Amino acid sequence: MDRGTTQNGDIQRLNQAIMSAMEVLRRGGPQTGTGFGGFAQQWGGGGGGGGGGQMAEHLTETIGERLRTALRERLSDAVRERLADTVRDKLRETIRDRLPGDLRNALTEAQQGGHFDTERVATVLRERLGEALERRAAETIRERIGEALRERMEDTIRSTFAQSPLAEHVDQSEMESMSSVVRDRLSEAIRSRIEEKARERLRETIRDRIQQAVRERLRESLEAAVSQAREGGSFDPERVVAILSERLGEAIRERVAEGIRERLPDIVRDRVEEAGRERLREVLRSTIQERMRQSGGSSGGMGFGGGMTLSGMGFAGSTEKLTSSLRERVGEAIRDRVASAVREQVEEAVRDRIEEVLHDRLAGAIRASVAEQLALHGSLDGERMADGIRYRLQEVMRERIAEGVRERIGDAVRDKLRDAIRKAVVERVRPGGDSASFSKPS
Amino acid sequence: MHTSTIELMHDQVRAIYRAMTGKEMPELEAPEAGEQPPSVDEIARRFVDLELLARQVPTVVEQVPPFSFEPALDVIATDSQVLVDVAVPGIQRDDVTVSCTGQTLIVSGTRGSESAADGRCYHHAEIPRGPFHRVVSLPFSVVKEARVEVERGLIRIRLDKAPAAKLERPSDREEANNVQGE
Repeated sequence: MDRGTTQNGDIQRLNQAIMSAMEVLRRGGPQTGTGFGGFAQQWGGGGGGGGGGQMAEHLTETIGERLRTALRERLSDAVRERLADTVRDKLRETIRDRLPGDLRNALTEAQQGGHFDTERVATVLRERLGEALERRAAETIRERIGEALRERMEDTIRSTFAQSPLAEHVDQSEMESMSSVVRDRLSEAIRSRIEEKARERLRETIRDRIQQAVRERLRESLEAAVSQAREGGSFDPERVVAILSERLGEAIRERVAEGIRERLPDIVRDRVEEAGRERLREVLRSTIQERMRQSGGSSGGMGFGGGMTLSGMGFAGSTEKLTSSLRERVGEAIRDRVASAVREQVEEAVRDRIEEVLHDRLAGAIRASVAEQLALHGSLDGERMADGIRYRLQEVMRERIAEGVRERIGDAVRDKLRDAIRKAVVERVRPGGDSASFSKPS
Repeated sequence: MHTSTIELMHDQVRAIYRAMTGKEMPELEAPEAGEQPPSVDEIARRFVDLELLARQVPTVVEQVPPFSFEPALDVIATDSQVLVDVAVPGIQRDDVTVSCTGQTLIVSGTRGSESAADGRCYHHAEIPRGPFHRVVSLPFSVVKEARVEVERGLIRIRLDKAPAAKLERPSDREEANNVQGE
């Protein structure tokens, strides 16, 4: 197109004409009602079906892609800004609590074989501290993500709506109310997806960063710690551990926080994209259709809603009856089928994960406890050894079991819940069954 | 945006208004001096939104022809040429642009119409108007210069096959093999 020939006056006039035609379309002609309702006259009045569906479909198409792109870009930045500092603070607490113990064990293990193996320290901390930090980061994200998402989503949805054809049909307060509905429905889907994947996707990043920090800082920090611990003529091994923890802790915290900060936006972007693909159209369509129904109801059933809502067609009484009956039946089906499926899945998950932890960790925990006892006390004490083994296993076992149960329950609930509801509803409303209220009264 | 495109868009907007109201669009107030118009992209977006929304209304579908379209076309090969016929009723030669890159031919242009503002009232409108665009993958390599004529509602594009492509008919290939064999 030749922009050189663009004429501002022509564009202004075209813009005015478009606005004027939009206004007419919105009202369904100069003489008709307001809001979505006016459109209905072009579709044969309130009794006609299908028009609202097409309208909602069109608006969903027009808005959906824009909204998905806007959410993807804006939410990833918002989450990073909002969570990065909080995660760093929480990591400080965990490092303070865990590092001295893990470091003591790592130093003990590194001295086996007659020489000091710095790489062994890095590996041990990578695994043990990595697991604690990974869990803490995931917990913090889980606690805070909802708030961070809700804040930014509202703005993003509202501004996307305001620049879309929807703005031609609804006023400011209605648009805000629709934005809130879409936000509530969508934020849950995005939040659960981020929660699900955050830990898995951050696992390697956190562990790599710990290993990297330890490799870079251990030797220098150890020399400084030993030198300080010798001051005053005596040598205190606990002081070495305390000084070393302080120096390494700072480096580990910075490195891990930096890694999370870099990784988090990608995780959010991917999950928002996924939730957008799977849920956005449905959420938008249902929100717009509900708004149309309300519009139709308020104008005496003349709008799209008049042709689409059950109440507009004289089904109000039947709907109540049906709701009550379905509630009972669906509730019963969910209790029976979902509870039994969850019980089976939990048993299996617990058994599998305990087996997995024993296989992966028991031998190492026993070895480490024996080494610890010999190094610290020069002899083996049954009680202390049992404590040492328990200490080394309990956290990882709790975490693995929880993870396994969460995974299995998610699948079981999703599958069985859908089946249970579908079956209960289909049985209840099957044509010819006891729910004749789905057919139009004569 | 070219002035003629703006006029066509304006005409389309008026036609939508007329289909919805049964009346001509009233003269709109002149924009205030110094008032900044929307950007070209913004106006295009608003126009597309209007057009999409209007297509949901049966009266508009009945009485306002589609704006922008992909015309039907034929691709025909002869021994030495590729002919492409594109059907755009009422088109003028000056309103057509043809470009060819490798084996891809692009035909675009704008089909105008007599202004609907002069008391003309469409009761039924199917023949599309406005900008059109087709991208054609040609079955043969061609030399770049295309000869374009407009004849009885057809844009006729003639392209000479590239020398290698002239042997691509199966009978030609067999003939060539025989010659090589000898």
